[in-house]
Amino acid sequence: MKLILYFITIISMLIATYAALIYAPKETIMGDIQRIFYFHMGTVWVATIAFVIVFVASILYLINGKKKWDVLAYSSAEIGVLFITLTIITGSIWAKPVWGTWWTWDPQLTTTFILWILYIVYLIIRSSSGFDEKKAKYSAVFAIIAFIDLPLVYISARVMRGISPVVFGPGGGGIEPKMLNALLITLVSFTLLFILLLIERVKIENLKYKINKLIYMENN
Amino acid sequence: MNTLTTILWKDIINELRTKEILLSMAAFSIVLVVIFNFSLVISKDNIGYLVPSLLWISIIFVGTLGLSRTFAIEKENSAIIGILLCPVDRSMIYLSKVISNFLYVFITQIILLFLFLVLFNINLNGELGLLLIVMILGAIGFSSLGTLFSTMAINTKLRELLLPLVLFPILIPLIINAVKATSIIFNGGGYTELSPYLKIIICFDIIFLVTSALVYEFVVEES
Amino acid sequence: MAEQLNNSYIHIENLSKSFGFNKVLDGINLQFEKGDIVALFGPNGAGKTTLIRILSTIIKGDEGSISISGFDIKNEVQNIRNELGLLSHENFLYQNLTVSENLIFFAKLYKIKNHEESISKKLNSIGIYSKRNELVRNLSSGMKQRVSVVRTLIHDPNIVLLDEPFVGLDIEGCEYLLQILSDLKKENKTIIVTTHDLKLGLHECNKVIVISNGKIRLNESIENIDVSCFEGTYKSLIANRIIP
Repeated sequence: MKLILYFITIISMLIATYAALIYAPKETIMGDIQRIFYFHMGTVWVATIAFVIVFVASILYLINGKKKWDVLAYSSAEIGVLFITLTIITGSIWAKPVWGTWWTWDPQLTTTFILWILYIVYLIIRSSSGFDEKKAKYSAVFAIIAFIDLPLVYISARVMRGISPVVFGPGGGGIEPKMLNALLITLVSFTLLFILLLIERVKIENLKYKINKLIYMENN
Repeated sequence: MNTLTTILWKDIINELRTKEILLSMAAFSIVLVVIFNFSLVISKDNIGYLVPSLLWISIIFVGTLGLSRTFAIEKENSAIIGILLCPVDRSMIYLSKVISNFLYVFITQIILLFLFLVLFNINLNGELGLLLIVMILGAIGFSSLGTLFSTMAINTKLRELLLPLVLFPILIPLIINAVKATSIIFNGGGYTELSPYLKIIICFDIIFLVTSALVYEFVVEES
Repeated sequence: MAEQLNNSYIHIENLSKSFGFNKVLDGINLQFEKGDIVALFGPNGAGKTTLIRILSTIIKGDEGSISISGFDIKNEVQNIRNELGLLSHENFLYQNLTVSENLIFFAKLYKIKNHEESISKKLNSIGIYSKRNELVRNLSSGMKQRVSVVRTLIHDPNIVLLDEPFVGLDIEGCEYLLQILSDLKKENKTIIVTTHDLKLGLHECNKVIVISNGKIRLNESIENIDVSCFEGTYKSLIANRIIP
């Protein structure tokens, strides 16, 4: 079963790469650099679903206290941090030639940056609290607050500054069909990638737990 | 309701006896304003933009100092366990702590505001009322999350070190809106200009008061 | 099902609790009747304090169920809190408040009516009425302990839990505490005392429980026990195969 998932993921990532780099038409204004945006959308997407999963798993953990929800939240957060970092990097690479600057404080980027910080604080809480249960509870509480906070960050930044420039479309409203296809394929393949990574990460976490437990039993 | 007033009364008496929290917050505020006075050049042009930021940054730093202390009192002799043994709703414990923290923060805000207005020669053009509203709304948001996280922080290894790290990023929407609103008031703007920012702050306050009250029991009970 | 067995006053079924990997309580099953005076022995780390804390509702168990006076600890916990009092070596008092203020505070939280009268009476009975306006921080540790006892009993709980109450006490303190236990026994309260000092624990109790490594090793009425094995240290308990 897992082998099939690996297979499908690799194939779809290859297809997505082809779609983004070759199949999709060149964007009129920005040129080839725009192609990185497909991957950028992919990483944003993964970072977002990872965040949602951290939120939902945290709530479930507080409600019924089962360890598996905490493992899911933590694993998802780790993957989320990775993809948010990739988002910021791909975004910057795109921004430099197009906007002339690596960074700007518009709503999208501000929210992304804060999300990155919130993820990192979550991981810091996890490494600092002592007993497993306390660590898990506190990070769950933080995750819930952070998730609710993020839309407020976006709205605040929106009310104060402008909007990111339109990135898709031949210059006018709407998205050209081929670009849409490339985008959708990228999103699907990144989702598969996320699921794969999450499954593996949860497995590693469970193994770590078992090993630590055995070591503990040995010493006592 | 009775629980709320009982715990609040106890906290007020405690502080009146020692005055340690208010005094340290006042002292810290004065130090900050002195540092700003000597390190920044504040002229008529940049007053409207610099001072609101400095004011709110001072508020959150001094406020965080107070937050750590209000729950630390409960940890001495583990008095909080005495409260947890009683048939009281954990959300009531939360709300009474929020009100105590709010009072400390509000008093600090008044002190800071007074210092800033006097030392930097700022003219408010009669907008004091609006300014106080912004202060109060900001203090509510700050206290609601601050109480939740300070209880969390004090129960962990890192104690007070963890508090700013966890609290400040979450407070970002509150602070930027409060600074913007304060800035508008300093520049003579009226209610209509202020209203989107006030709305966001009110939203923030309500959402986080309710959410924190709900999750407080997971944080105050030791595992 | 738990309901059918639930005639006992305090009923603990299959209780487990872990801190990290350390399984502090492992499938504890206990039942107590009203008026039982229970001595809970065990070496350090055996799980005594954890068990008391779970019973007093300040922490939650991982698995298992507990019912006290017919109330389920998961769903009707506020009712249970009215029935119990916990005395620990930490005194749960506010240093910067007076004795009176501390006691009035807790009396109000327990929603006791006419608390002024009730507190004066209690203070008088243990002879610290004159100290009622002293700040707790200015009291001697013996005095603090007495105030702590009043705080524990302020709502006249039917169940009194004492967690290592003899630790750090001088002779006068120990005598005072034993007197309290004796008085409580006369009022037909249910008492659970944890201690690792085998000699002090046995005085008034009618049930003896030994817990070690998270499991119950012994659960007997005092008549059925050879008291001599409790006269010594844990070595004798191990020798008598009570603790493995």
